[in-house]
This record gives sequence, C-alpha cells and structure tokens, in this order.
Amino acid sequence: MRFSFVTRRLVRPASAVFLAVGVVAGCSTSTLEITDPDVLNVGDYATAAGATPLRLGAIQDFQNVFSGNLNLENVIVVTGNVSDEMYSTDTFDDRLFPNQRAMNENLPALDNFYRALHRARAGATRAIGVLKAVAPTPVQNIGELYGIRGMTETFFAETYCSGVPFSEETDSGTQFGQPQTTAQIYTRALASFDSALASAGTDARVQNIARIGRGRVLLNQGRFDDAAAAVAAVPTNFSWVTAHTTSSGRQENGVWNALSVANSRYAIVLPDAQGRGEGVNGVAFLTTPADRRIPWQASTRTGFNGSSRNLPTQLKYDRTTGAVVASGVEARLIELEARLRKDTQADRDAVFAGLNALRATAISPAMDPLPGAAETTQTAAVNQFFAERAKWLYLTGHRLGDMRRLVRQYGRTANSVFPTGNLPSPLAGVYGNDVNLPIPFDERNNPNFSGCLDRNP
Amino acid sequence: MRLFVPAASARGERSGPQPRCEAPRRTSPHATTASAPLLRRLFTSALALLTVAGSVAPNALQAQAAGGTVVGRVTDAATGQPIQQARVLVQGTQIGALTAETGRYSLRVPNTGAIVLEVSRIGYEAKRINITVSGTAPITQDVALTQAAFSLSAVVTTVTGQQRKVELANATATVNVAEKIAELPVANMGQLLSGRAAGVQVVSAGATGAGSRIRIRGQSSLSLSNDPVVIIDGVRMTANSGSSSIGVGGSTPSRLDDLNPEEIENIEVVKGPSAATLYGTEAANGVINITTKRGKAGKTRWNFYTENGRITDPNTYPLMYYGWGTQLTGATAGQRVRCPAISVAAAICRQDSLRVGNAFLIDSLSPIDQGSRQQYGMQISGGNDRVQYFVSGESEVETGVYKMPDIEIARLTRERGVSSLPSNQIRPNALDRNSLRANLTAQISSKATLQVSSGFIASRQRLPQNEDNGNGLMVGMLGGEWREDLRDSRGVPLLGWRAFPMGDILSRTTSQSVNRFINSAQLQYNPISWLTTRATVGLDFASRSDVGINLFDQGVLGVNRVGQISANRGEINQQTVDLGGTANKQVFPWLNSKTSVGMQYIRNYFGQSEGTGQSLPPGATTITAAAVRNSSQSTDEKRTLGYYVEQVFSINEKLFITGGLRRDAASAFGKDFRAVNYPKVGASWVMSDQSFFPELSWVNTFRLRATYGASGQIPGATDALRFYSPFATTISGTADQPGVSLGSLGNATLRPEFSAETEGGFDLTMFDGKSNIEVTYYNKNTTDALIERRVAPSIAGVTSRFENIGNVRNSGLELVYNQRVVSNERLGLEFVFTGSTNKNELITLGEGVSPIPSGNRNTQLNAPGFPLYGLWGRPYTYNDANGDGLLVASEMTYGDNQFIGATYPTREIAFTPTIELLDKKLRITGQVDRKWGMKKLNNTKRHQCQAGISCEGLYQGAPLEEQAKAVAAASSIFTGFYEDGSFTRFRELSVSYQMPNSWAKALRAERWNLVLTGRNLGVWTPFTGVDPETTVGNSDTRGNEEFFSTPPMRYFTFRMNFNF
Repeated sequence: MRFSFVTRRLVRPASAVFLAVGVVAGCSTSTLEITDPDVLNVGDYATAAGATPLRLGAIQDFQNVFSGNLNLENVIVVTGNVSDEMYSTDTFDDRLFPNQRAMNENLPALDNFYRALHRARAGATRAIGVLKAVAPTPVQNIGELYGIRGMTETFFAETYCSGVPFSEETDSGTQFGQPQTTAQIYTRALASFDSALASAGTDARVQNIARIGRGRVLLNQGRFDDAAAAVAAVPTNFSWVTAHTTSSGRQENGVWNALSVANSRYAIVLPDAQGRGEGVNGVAFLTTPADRRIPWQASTRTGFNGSSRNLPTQLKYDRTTGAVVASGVEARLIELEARLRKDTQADRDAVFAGLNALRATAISPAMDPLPGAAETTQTAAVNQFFAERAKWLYLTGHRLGDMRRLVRQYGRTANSVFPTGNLPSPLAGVYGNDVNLPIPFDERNNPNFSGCLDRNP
Repeated sequence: MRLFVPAASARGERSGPQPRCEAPRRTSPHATTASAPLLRRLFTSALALLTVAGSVAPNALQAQAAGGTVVGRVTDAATGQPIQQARVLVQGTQIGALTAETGRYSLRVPNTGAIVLEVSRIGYEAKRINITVSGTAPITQDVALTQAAFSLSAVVTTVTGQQRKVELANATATVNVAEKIAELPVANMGQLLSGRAAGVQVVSAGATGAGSRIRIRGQSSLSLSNDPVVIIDGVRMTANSGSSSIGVGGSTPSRLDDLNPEEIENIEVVKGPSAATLYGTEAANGVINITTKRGKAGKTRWNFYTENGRITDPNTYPLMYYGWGTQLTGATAGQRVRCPAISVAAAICRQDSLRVGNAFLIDSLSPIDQGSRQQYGMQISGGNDRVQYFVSGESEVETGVYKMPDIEIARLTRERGVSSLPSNQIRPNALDRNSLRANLTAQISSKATLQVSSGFIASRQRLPQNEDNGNGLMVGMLGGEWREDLRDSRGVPLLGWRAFPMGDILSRTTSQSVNRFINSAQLQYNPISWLTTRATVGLDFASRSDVGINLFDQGVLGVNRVGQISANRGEINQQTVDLGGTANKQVFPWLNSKTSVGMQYIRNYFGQSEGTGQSLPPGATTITAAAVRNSSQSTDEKRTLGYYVEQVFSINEKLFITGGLRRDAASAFGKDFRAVNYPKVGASWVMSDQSFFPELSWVNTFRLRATYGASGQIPGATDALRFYSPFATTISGTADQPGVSLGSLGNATLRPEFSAETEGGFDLTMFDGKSNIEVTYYNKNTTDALIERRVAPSIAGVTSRFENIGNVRNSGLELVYNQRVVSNERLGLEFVFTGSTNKNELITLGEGVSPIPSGNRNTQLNAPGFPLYGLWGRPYTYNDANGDGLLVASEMTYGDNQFIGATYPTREIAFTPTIELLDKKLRITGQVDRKWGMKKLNNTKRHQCQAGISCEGLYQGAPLEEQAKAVAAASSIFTGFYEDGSFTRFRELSVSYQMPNSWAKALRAERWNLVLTGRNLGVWTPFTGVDPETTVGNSDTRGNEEFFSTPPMRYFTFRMNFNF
C-alpha cells in the first residue's frame, strides 16, 4: 500500500500522536486513582451518620490524654510527675527533667502530651461544629463536648506556662493562634463550661460536668465564692469517669501502665526517713496502713532504669480502671476551700467538719475522722486542707494546679510547696525551680509564637 | 586502541564510509479503545509513539533487495578458545545474534549490500567489520576478539535496552557478580556491593539476617527513604531496609537481602539522577540494576557448590564501673552505698572501691558463642541456539553468635520442669533461606525473543530483642549497674545483667517468614530491521509473616509474662509494566540516530493484617488462644505512570550526544499537581579518536563525558491527603464503638522531590589496557525536598505534614583506578582502587521553618548550611578549680549549640588487590577500605554515663576528660560522646585454589576449586566504642550511632565449587 507524501508525513504521524496521547491521558486518569482504605474522607463525617463517630472520637481523644495509654504521658502522669505525686524511674530526660522541675522545650514525651491535649481540644471543637450543623439533638451531646473542650483548656492553664496559643484548623485552612496568657486561658475555659451548661439540656451528667468545670476555673481565678456557688448543685456522689479496656493498648489505663508494670518508668513516692513526701515538701501519700484513698502495697519491682528498686505499687488504678475527671467530692472541696478563705476560726471549724463529713460519707466504708480538732491558725488549716484535698484527688490531675495555687493564691514560695533539694538516690542532681511546663519547641512553627510569656505560677 | 577498529584497519585509521540503509517499511499503529486493559493500552501507546518517531525520522538509508546470511565463529584472540554469548549486530539496526557455546553464530540479514558487523562481548574489545552481503551463498566471517577488561565498548543494561558504555554520558559501575562470587563468596547483597563501586556505601548490620543500608552518592532526603531503586531482570523489586512489622529494637531485615547473590550475573549501579532520569520518579537515589544468570547454548552444565563456615565475635566490649563507698551524711550514714564522684565532691560519701568489668568477660554470663554458616547449591544451564535455560537451587542456613548462657539454660529447664528448651530461645538469631530460580530464553521467531525469569525465595529468620530496647540483650549486658549482688523481684540472681536474667530476655522470640516470587517476562520484537520493541511485565510478590511471642510464664517480668503474641501477615506486591522501543538509523555515514520511547507503570502495594493476643494459657502459641485479642489492618498503595523519549546521536562513533525527557504522574502527588517532567542531556566524546589528539603510545583511549539529568522521589501514599483516622472508642457501660479524628492535614500541592544532577568526568585507558582511570565529579541538587515538617501542635495536635520546602546538595569526586600489573599465563597481579568524596549540605529549609532536630535525643539538627543528619552539641571546657581531682557542674563551662560533624562518611576508599599464582590456579584477593570525615555518637557510653550509672567518668579516679563527659551528660549535653568515627577495615580476604584436573576428573568434574574466605579481619579506628560500623536501626538518622548494637562479626568460610 502506498501513501501520498501528505499521508505519510503528516496525517499518520499526527493521528498516532493523538492516539498515543489520548491513550496515555486515559490511562493516567483512571490508573492513578486509588482509594486508600486506611483513610476516611473528611466530607463523609459532615453528615448525621458521620457526626456520631466524630463525637466519639473526640471523647476518646480526651480520655487518652487524661488517663489513657498515650506513650505513657497523660494529664494525670505528667502533672503527677512534676508535682509530688510520683517521680520518674526512667532513663529518658523526657521524664526525668519534669520530675526534677528542670524542663526545656525539647522533650519529646512532653511534646506528644502537648499535642494530644490540643488534639482533644481541637477534636471537640470540630465535633461541636458538625453536631450543631447536622445533629443538633440531643443537645447534651454538644454540651458534653463543650465540657471536654473546657476541661482541656483548664489543663493548659493549670499545667503550662503562660502563652499557650490555640490555633484553629478547618476544612478551609489554618488560623494560627496568638499566645494566650494563663488568665486568658481560664477565661476561655470558663466560656466553654458556660456553653456546656447552656447546651446540657436536662442531662444531669453534663450539667454537673459543666458545674464542676466552672467551679474549678473560678477557683483558679481566685473567685472562691463564685466557685462554691457554681458547684453547689452537684451531688457528692457524682463522678465523671473515663473508660478504659484492654481492647487495645491505646484504650488501657495509662496511669497503671506508667506506675504499676514491671520496670515502670514512673513510681509513687515512699516517704523518707523523716516521713516526708517527695523533695522535703511533698505530701506523704503512702502510709502504713494505707489511706484507703491511696491504696498501695510494697513490692520488689524495679524501675526502667534498673537502679530504682523495691518500688511500691499503687492500687488505685488497674489496667481498665476509669479515672475520675471531676466529682462531687471535688465540688465539696471547692465549697470548703471557699469557706476556708473566710479566715475565721468558725470557718476553720466548719472546714474541719466538712473534711470529716467527706471521710464519713464520700467513701465506703467510712474513714476515721481527722485526729484532734480544727487547726487554730490559717496556715496550718490551709496545710491540712490541701493535704486532704491532695489525698482525695490523688492521681486525678489536680495536684500541680493546686501547688501552683498555693504559691499564687496563698503566698507560699515555690520551693516551700514543690519538691526541692537533692534528688533521692539512685537519681542524682538537685531539683530545679520550674512550677509549670514549657511549651514545646515545635510550637515555634506557629509564626505567632516565640516562647512562653512567663513561667509564673 | 580505538573503540571500534575495522578488521582491516590499523590503529589511527579512520573507518571507511558507511553504507546507507534502506528506508523502513512502515506499519500502522494499532488502534485501541480507552476501555481496553491497561497493558494493551500501554503497549499500543508505546507502539504509536514509536511509529511517530519512526515516521518523522530522516530516511537517509535506502531499501535494497532481499538479503543474505552471515555465519562465523568468534574466538579469543589470545587463546583461540570460542567465545560464547558474544553479540553480533548489524550496525545501525537491531538485527543480531548471540554466539553459541562453540562460538558460532548465524545471522540472517534482510538486505544485500555492504554492512558493518559489530561484535562485542563483556570483557573484550568490540570490533567492527565491513562485509558485503550478497543474495547467494552464506558469507563466512570469523572474528577474533581481544580481551580488554576496561573497555568502553562493554555493554551495560539501561532503560532503553543494552547500550555500549561509550554511548553513555555518565559513569557506570558494573559488578560482574558471576565472575566474582565463585571465588569470593558473600553471604548477602550488602557484602556483595561493599567497596565495589565508588560512591556506593554499604552499612551492614551485625546480626545474622539484619539488613544492609546502601547509599549512593550520599543522602538527599531528610524525610523520605534514601534507598536506591532496585530492578531485577527489568522489573522493580521491593528492596527496602527495615522490612518488619515487629521491632526488636533496631535490627531489621532488608528485602534486598532476600536475593541469592549466586543467581546474579551482574549488577549495574546507576548512581544518580543524571543517569537515572529515564527510571523516573523514585530513582533520585540511584538504581541498582540486577541481571540474573541466563542459560547458554551448548551442553548442559552442572555447577555444585557447598560452603561451611563459622562466625565469631572479635569485638571488645566497654568496661563498666561501679563505685562503692560509705555514706557520710543523713539517716543512712555509715551504710555501704553507691558513691559517685559528684557525691564524693559534696562530701556525701567516701568512695571505698571501684568494681570494673562486664558480663562479656565472664563466660558463664556471656551470650556470645560461635555461630555457623552452611550453604549448598546447584545450578544447571544449557540449551540450543533457540532455547536456553538456567535453573538453580540453594539452601542456606546461618546461625548467629548469640546463645543463651548455660547457667540460664539450666535455670529455665529447672523452672519449667522440662528436659530442654526450644532451640529458637537458645539460639535467638538465625536465618534459614531456600531459593529457586528458573530462567528461560527462547528465540520464538526470527524477530522475537522471549525471556522469562522466575525466582522463588523462602526464608525464615529470627532476631533477639536487642539494640534500643530496655528488654534487649545488649542493654541487659551493658546498660545496668556492674554489681553482682542484685536480684530481680522474684529473687533470681541478675549476676551482672541489668534488670532481667538473660534467659528471660532470650525467651521472647521474634521471627519472620517470607515466601517471595519475583517473576518477569521480557519480549523483544524486531518487526523491521531498524526497530526494536520491548515489553516487560513483572511481579514481585511476597507474603511476609512476622511473629513475636512470649509463651505463658516466659520472658522478662512484665505484662507480657502472662503470654503475649503478635502475629502480622503482610503482602508486598510490586507490579511493573515496561513498554518501549528503539528506532536505530544510520542517517548519514557519519551520523547514527537512536530514538527510544517507552512507558512504565509501577504499582507498589503493601497490605498487612495485624493481630495481637495477650494472656495465653500454658503452651498456647496462637492469638486464638489469647484471652485478650486485638486486630488491625493497614494498606499502602502507590502507582506511577511515566513515559519517556530519548534521542542518541552518534557522530562518527566518537561523539555521542544524548537528550531525553521523562514525564511522570503518580497517585501520591497532591490533587493540585498532576505530573512532573525530568529532562536529561549529555555527551560522551572519545577524544583519543580525534585526529588532533596527540599520538601518545601509552594512551589507548581518553574519553570526556558530561551529563545533566533529573529524577525524583515520590511522597508517601497518603501524604497529600487530609483525612480522618479510625479507632475504637471506649464508652463507659457500653461496648467499644467506632470513633474518628483528624489523621492528617494533607497537602494538595504536594509534588515529588526534584533532584537534578550534573556529572562530568573522564575515562583514561593506558598501557595496552593495563591501566584504567575513571574520574567523575557530580553535583546533585535536590529541590522541592519533601520534608516532614513538624506542625505547630496547637493546630489540632497533628504531628507533621509533608511539604516541599527544602533544597539539598550533594557533590563529590569519584575515582576508579584499575591496574593490571602482571598478566600472563602463569601469574597475574591486579588491583582496583576506588575512592569518593561526598559533601552534603542542606541549602535552604523554607522560609520561617525552624531547623529540624533528628537523631536520638535530638543530637542532630538539620539546619541550612550544614549537612543532613549532622551532629550538633554544646562544646565545653572544664577546670578542676579546687584541684581535688573531681569535676562538678560548677567547674564546667558550656558554649552554644553548634555543628560538630557529619554522620555520613565524607571520604571513602577501597583497595582490592588480586594476585594469581601457580599457573593462575591459586588466586588471592582481598579488600581493605577506609571511611573517614564523620562523627559517630557513642550512645552506649552516653547511656552508661547518664542513666546506666556505669561509665568510668562517674567515679573518683577517672581522668578529668571522662568525668567531664559524665557531668555534661547530667545536663543533657552529649557532645563528649561524639567521637571520630573514621576507620580502616581489613574487610575481606579470599584464597581460591583450583584443584588438579586429574583430581577433578576423579570426581567426574571438569573443575574443582576450593575457596577459603575471611571477612572483617581487622579494624583500626580512634572510635572508643565497640566498632565504628556498629549501627542501631541502620537508618539515616541513627545509622552512625552505636547504641547497644550488634557489631560486625568475623566470618571464616570454606567453599568448594564443582563444575560438571
């Protein structure tokens, strides 16, 4: 077959080019489209059906960061390590330095914790938006998420230095947050709890979450009477508890994993020869016989460092035990503290009676009352109150905030409240002066952020 | 010497005018529909593009009438022995044939008239011969080839088919594995490649079965793999290191090491983007192109080999220190306590004694024994002119040096009430591998050749808990306190081990089973004289099973002591479709044109199902038996589609100019980024063939080459996507429910890393081919570097996001020097010297992006102006102000954080001499290499000083320099543990002897030789750790860090080869 010059030189090559390009284009369009089963499209969860898993995901993220098994570090563990509730038996600076109150911005475990706290906050915020848009009822679902958001904001304020930013991430982009002072964060948290209360409907649980949250923030703000009023309606037997299972490692109770496994990276503190808790100032939590609010037993366990031996084992948490985020006991303690602030002997007597009432009714079987009578000086009464509060709220993420309040609201010096002096053997070195956590270095990828505004209590 | 010397011409003469070829007969492209299967569409597209190229090519060659036949024999010019597998090709066409075992060939030429035959064979000088084909009787043309080990006419495998080295504008490195391996046995691919090519660095792990890390021309990517692409028989294979889903602390297998080196004919190392452009996205780190052995026409040949060896540990482990003293203060005053120097200085205690040693020095505590290695294999090859086959099978067993101490065997036997322990607990490190291969080459028509390659590997490997693992072996040996009085919480004596008895550590077993097929089929079809088309399809499929298990009441104390099992099953599936064609035209007598077009489709899939179970009943070994069970699933898939065009002009066979372009689209690119173009251009100029080149009798060839090319690195499968991740949610009082939260921020503009490389150099062959020097300079710039940027945590808590924000440069010099000192029938002496430099620098990191820390404890910082993965630290000085011989914190002065040194060697050389004696029946070859210009983190010592409380510097009496390291470590300043990592290693020595023929014949063999090989025979280094090549994890971030790692072991093997 013979072709004309035009056919040979023009038509056929051009046809071939068009054919080839067409085929290639067709291939590239269809062949390169992959649906990855591991990923879930964001758009699928802006629906009524998708809103529930999004809401549950926010709840789980909160549980993880509060008491879950998230690389061991959660609110209870981190605040407990910095305070006098526990110390680190690890070989990593990530955990040794917080215990030593000598932290820096480059401690990966603290970075993970900070991220997880933001994840819980941002997840709740995202879910609130979706629920409002596509699943506004039952309204208490939204209220609970506001409560979670308020609680994460409270943790930021109680745990970190001043200057935490709150960036926003939506489908349309990212808005970097400006550093917030501690006071601003408390204000923010209070607003979230107000929204929780407003969205609680008739659900008593969510109402109580919001009330205790408000009370906790108001206490931090020094508005003691307002705090007492906020929690007045909370029954003493109320508790907001996280849930844990052994279904996956992530769902286990992380406090148990941190403190109770063989070669644990953390340990609870045995009193020294003088009966003092961690670093001279610490509360002596472990007593013999054990205070039933702080069950423990002796063991021959060894810490991760291989050098810390005969570590006591806490019995408050098992692998699947839930952790109390907020409770009626806390509500009563808020009320008692407001009363204590009145600073009269009658008030001290009333607080003493209130503490004994809790011992009689808030735990079963009832505990013995505190020995003797009410303290006759405000300082001693405050000491007694905070020791009792520390034991009631042992390993619930309150102690660091309380120690900071003792400095901020009660005129104590940091080194008369926090552990100080030489680290106990086999650890070496001395305690530093930190009273809060620095914001991790990675936050400097936020162009608005250049470090803590201050490290004040 | 000229590259192509016409048979009738002498050196320096020009070859005569070349005939003009006839115009090709054209064919119409096959139409197809858009809904046709992928393969057909790709093939059709390739043909269509190729036809376009053919259509627009100049038709300078004229058609002539019916052709004739050329027959002949190719022999070795020196010995007269026939040369098989020599390629006889009609110049300017793809018409050719291979010689049989007898050296004979028969070539049907479609056209009559003058033609030029090109005859080539690896290891010989190519020849070009002018002949005239007539239509009558066959023309006989015998050819004698001259051996030339360093010839530019050697044939190398490229994307567009086989090309002569002289045509390539880049340096090439070829490892003739089949020639080497029989007389220099290797255990794995890492040993095979180590020191064989300039710029190719291999870091081998010490444990048996632990994978090697191969880096070509440095490290370019901060967040992506720096592994090269590996291609075997034309198809992409999975070759990543770190291929395990159950970590043991550091050591991991490499899928490259699945390959049996005995099956390999040769390896081409394509070093960088300048040469790897047509390989497309992912080839920025170079390409390792493997060709397996193929059958040769002739009688059936049987090769049998057997290898036995032993493995020993030549290393000395660091001493541990423990100071005992008397407490001077407090409630415990007067008690015997650990007494560190800092407490002595503070008058808290008085040091009374210092205990020094380690458990390696006590035979009853040491988990080191002698390992062993056995290998048995058989290879059969043969065939006729039309069909050739190669079949091989091998069984290999290697048992590492680790062994449970006898006292622990006795203890556990007693505790468990059994008569013996499982062998995998006593010997926790072993590799058992069986491999089969069948390769077939068939001339299915006069125009078509089919090659089918099929390899199967079945391996089973086990590794102990080790390296960066608190429950690991080395941490147990070196990570604790050096004292004899400790017991675990059950009261079992620890005897010097850190926290767990060694038997408990080794009772957790981790194993990996792999069943893997690597199959390919290559069809070459020459429809017309000037056109060659190729189609390759291949599948690399592996089923991987990882199992880690603590039987009930076994293993270290902890939650897993109740019995725990992790069992993960994965599918590794890589598919390749490669279509292409090359049109070859002699446009003018002085100009040859070669146009290639092609397409490649790569699908890379990994899927895994993971299951864990906890709380097992006694004896149970399955998840089914566990009281608490959990499962998950993960998938990773990437697809790449690329097409390319390459044009090579050959001007008088002296100047070769190449241009090309590849365009890739990939599923992993962001939705706003569709495709990337990779250009290449280069020239190779044989200056010594030019008339102006000085007539220097000692210079044979001198070639200049320069090239520019680009390639890329593909993002991860889901890096571009914004998505939610699922997980189970525990709600009090209810069963778990599904929950989701934000998993990734995504990046819609994500595009591949773009690496552009400029390479230039020369090849100089001198003294009748006895000396050969290759010098190459390269400069590789990686722009749009894909960096896993840490995200400000306040943005939803997401950790990181991939962004194209970096610019990295690698540059350096490479030298290859081959020298044949003596070569005659009785003896020979030659050596190969390779060397390279590498300067790596992170040029930019994106505006506003903070330097990125990496490495253990953020000891590395990736900052503009400095190398990737460089070690940074605060320098310090010390002054024992009070002269008490004890350093305390107040006597230290620290500087600002600064760059201390690169972790990747910036200089390396390897010297490989070979001597042949006794009529060349005795052959001795060895290799000494040196690497320097890098720092190494002695993280084991850091741990001993900071947390393990066992380093010398912690105690009174230590040199102040050692005390300073320990005092600084207490403040998380680790600069004192950055050591000079340079070393010189006597890497291998092999002695091969060919037994007398009469002895071989007594065994009915044609040839019988014995090979004794030693590896890792000595090392000289200032590094104070166990070994300068000890590596934890063998990753780029931790690749030059010693952290309780298994050091390189010493191998002695004895091998016998029988050829029948």
